[in-house]
Amino acid sequence: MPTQTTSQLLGEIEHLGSGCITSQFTKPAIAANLQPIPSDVDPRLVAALNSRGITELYSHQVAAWGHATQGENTVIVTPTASGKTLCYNLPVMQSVLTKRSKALYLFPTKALSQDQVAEILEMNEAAKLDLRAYTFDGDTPSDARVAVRTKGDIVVTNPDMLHVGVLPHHTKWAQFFENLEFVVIDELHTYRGVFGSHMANVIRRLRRICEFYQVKPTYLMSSATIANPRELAERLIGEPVKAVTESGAPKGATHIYLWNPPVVNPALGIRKSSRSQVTSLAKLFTKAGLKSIVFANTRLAVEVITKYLKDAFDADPRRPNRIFAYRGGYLPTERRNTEKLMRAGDIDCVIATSALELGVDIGSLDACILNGYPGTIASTWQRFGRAGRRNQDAIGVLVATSDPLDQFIVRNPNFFTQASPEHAQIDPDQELILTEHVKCAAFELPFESNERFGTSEVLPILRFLQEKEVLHQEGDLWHWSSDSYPANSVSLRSVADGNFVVIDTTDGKKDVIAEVDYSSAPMTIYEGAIYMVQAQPWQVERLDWEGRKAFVTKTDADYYTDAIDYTKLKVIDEFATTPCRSGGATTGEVHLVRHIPGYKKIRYYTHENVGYGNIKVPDQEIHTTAVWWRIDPLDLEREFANRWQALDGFLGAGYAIHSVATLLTMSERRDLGHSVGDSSATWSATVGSGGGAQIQDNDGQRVDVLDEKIPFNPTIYVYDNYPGGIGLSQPLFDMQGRTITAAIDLVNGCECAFGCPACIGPILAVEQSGDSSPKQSALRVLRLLTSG
Amino acid sequence: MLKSPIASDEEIAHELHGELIADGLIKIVTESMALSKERLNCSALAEVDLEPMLGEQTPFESLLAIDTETTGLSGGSGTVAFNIGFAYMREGEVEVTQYVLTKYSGEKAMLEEVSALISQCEALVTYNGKSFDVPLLVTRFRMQRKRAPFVGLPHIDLLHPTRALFSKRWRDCRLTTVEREALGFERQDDLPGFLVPAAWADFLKTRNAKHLAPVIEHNRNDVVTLLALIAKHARIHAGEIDADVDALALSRVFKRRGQRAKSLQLLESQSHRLNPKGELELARELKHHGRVADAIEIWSRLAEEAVPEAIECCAKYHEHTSKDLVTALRYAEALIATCGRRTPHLHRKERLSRKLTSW
Repeated sequence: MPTQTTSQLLGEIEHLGSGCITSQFTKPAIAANLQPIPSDVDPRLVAALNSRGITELYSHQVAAWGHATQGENTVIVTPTASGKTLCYNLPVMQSVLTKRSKALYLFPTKALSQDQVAEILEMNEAAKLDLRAYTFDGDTPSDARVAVRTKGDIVVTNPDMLHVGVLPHHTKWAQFFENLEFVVIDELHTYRGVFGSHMANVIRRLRRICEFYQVKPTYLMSSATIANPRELAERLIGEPVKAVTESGAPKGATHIYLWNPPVVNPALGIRKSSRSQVTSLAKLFTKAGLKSIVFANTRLAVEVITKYLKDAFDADPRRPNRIFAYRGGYLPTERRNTEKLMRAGDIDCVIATSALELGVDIGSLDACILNGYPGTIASTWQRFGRAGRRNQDAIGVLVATSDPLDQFIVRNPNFFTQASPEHAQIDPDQELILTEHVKCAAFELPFESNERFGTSEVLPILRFLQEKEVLHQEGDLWHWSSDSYPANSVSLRSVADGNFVVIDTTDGKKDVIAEVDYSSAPMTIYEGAIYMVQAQPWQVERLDWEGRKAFVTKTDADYYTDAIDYTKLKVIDEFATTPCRSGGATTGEVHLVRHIPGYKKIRYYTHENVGYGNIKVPDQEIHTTAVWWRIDPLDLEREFANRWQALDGFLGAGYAIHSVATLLTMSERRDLGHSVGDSSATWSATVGSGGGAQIQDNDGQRVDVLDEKIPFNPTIYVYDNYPGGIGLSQPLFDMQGRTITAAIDLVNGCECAFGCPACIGPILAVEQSGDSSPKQSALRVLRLLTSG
Repeated sequence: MLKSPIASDEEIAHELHGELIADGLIKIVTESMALSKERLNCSALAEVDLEPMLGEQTPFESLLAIDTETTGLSGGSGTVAFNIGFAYMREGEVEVTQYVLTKYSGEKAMLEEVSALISQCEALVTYNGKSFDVPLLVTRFRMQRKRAPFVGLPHIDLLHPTRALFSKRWRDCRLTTVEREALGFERQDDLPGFLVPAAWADFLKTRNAKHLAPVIEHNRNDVVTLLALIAKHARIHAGEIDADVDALALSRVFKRRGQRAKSLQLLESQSHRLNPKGELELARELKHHGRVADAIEIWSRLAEEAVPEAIECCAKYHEHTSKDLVTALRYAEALIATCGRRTPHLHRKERLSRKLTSW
């Protein structure tokens, strides 16, 4: 029970945050829309609902019931704690009770799977329904697996297990598939990017197997709020989907604040840490008697904030703890215990990673504080949604860190408040991903020559696999003829070529401490690199490139390492182009060569360069898709005093564009890469050790950019960082005008004087040269690239 | 230069001493005349009494040994059995029937033949068949949308009893090891199991029967050995115990079946070969059958060798049966000295001391 009135508390927040709050607004309350339980719900289920205090349903639950019972694929897009689970549990349980049919539930994580089973079992118990719901994942003991396959009515699993443990053994599940009526996919919005592209293919394989067993299950899905839930759902399952988007669940108003910590070093743009701000807010809320949740983006941040708050509130060991941390890495029993205490209202403040963003029921909270922008608008609202009771106001505060995206959001509140949540993109026909899954599918059931896999014709892939001696053609059928088990070598979260494992060899150990994907490997785990896990530094002693292993030992070096990346792009094909104020934007296919010659050793805090090392990793060559921007050379000559200035501008603009592009395409920073080069690929530009631009030719030799003989056509490339692309370039090109505008806002809104890592990248510029700073040069370039 | 023509399926069948019975399917029948007599004494097989082992009258003719060779070892629906072998007794002779695919499309016909054969037998004999061969075949039937013929069929997987009786003695229980040690037969140039998938891959590429021949020979040896092995087990159950057999393990098999008298008889007849664990079991069984005097003889001897369970049994015997409390106390103290100050042992010593002083 809050001990202050809402307006008092809001006043205190505003006082604490004077000078820091960049925006505040209120999300209005939502009234309940209740409807009677539909008459065709089985009386046993009605009794079960009644026993849990439910006598009416929300409008969206009734709508979902209507679609599901008619066999229509449905996606439910309502906020957290709106009773989404009942939307799919009710039709499933009805079908199991009345027809003894089966259902498959897919959750992205094991923890969520187990919670769901618990919920179904509770209803089962309450009304003696005799349903059998089991989890099936890596932890299921082998003697229990037979029971799950043959007796389970509802089988709860995750995409990885479905991919490697169920589909390739589908004959063992024959009874299950023959009676499969529903497939439930929860947290649909997590299936985007690389993971989503894989998932779409796993579903294609599932559909193939369902066809073999002559069933056509209905897909019931639930998603957090994204811009395109129905489109994502349809692309994921390859069938039409009905969307239920209006929530009938009541919610009090939410007061939202965007908060930027105060500046302490104006020249370098350094601010107070977000952690300090978050801690102060959490203390304020806890003292006011509110129940709060703090979200941090790293496990380390969770631990640090928890420590500060425990020091303040849990100092007396005789009294029960009021502050709890929650993150992956804690034992499941600990996490269950924390959830229970939260539901009972016995915890005042929980500090968590995204592990608590989804699904799990944690009761009602009054306030939510975000330590850093979670990366997407959708996640931000998902997290804020954790606070809010039916008839009481809630509070949400987003505290920005120094990360460029955070700074952009918090200085451009309109972007946030007016932004519709992101479009989730997937690319199921990405070459490498598709081929891997066709391989897995061929293991499951032989392919026919004219078969389509999703929307793709598979014949070219089948021929390719035959060449690799993995398939054998006989007439129209293509049989699996290798002795390998293909699903084992496909990870649903990366694109081909194999992840690297990082192995700790300190004191003769051999522990795997991390995994690094193939494309990040050359820049992060070369020999001599300092690799950080949970803020603990390790040094890479040896890199086994072919074996995909990096051997590290603990270190206490006082420097970190930064690899020098000479990425060179060559345009292979142009798909479309559009003019800008000067020059234009184009999208197409590019050939990329990434050469990493060496790395710099940079001392912490002072950022001095204290050494250099060589790197010997193979050049990475990939074909991918990209968007690139060019400016008319005449305009360049007119706008810039010399070529160096122009280059600084291009490098800074490129960095800013990359930042906002990740925002606008709802991707991770590493899903995209950016590079500045000459459009005829004779040179590429990077930031040199002096902090300014330098360019080198294709052999890594320095080039004198002022040499008039060398054509000067600098181009900013933003490319998909995976071989074959990952479907980000086209949407980015479609939004390119908006991207440039956002980049200008990002740089303009930065309070640094001449440029800093938050806006234009690691350009160390503490003085102006002439009448221009790197920041101004970047703005000049961007302004020339605005639309029309 | 003329390329040598690709062999036809008929030619492949001929080279493998078989017959093409359907498109993509070869059948090879080998009668026992072609098998070495030392290895397989057919008349002796016909006389083997399976009842002691199986618990009921089962004519040897009703057994069907089966073994598969597959395109991979990982299981799952992408693994195909391209060679299935059967061994059985017919009219007093051992006969082997094998099916080999030359094409994947021959599988349907092969499964029909397999179904027909299996429906005529009363029990299956395999080696690791419960975990591998039968689940694999069930998968193949399902892939062809056919009912598998295994429901309700007794299945004797010889891996488990073989391990139980012999694993302490031999380095491993692979079939070729069992063959060599228990049946006295050593294969020449046998194709190792892990090379079978590669042989199939080579055949697909070249269509040369020479890749399949060693697989078929390996498969034939496997199924014949299964028949010889079950006979061996039957004889052991009937009392022919040799030095390799783990008598204690066998006695436990009898005991589990409720044949305690038989278990005791076995242990007694093998007592000269039992280790302390086996002797303790013998003593336990003797006591169970009321032959306490024989039991205490064993316990006393083992107690001299400081075997803890024997010391404890002696203490108990002298406390409750012979009523020789002084000796009982001596044993109780020896037990503490050997095992440490555990509560039940301390209680016993205390109890005995009290009883003695109260006289």
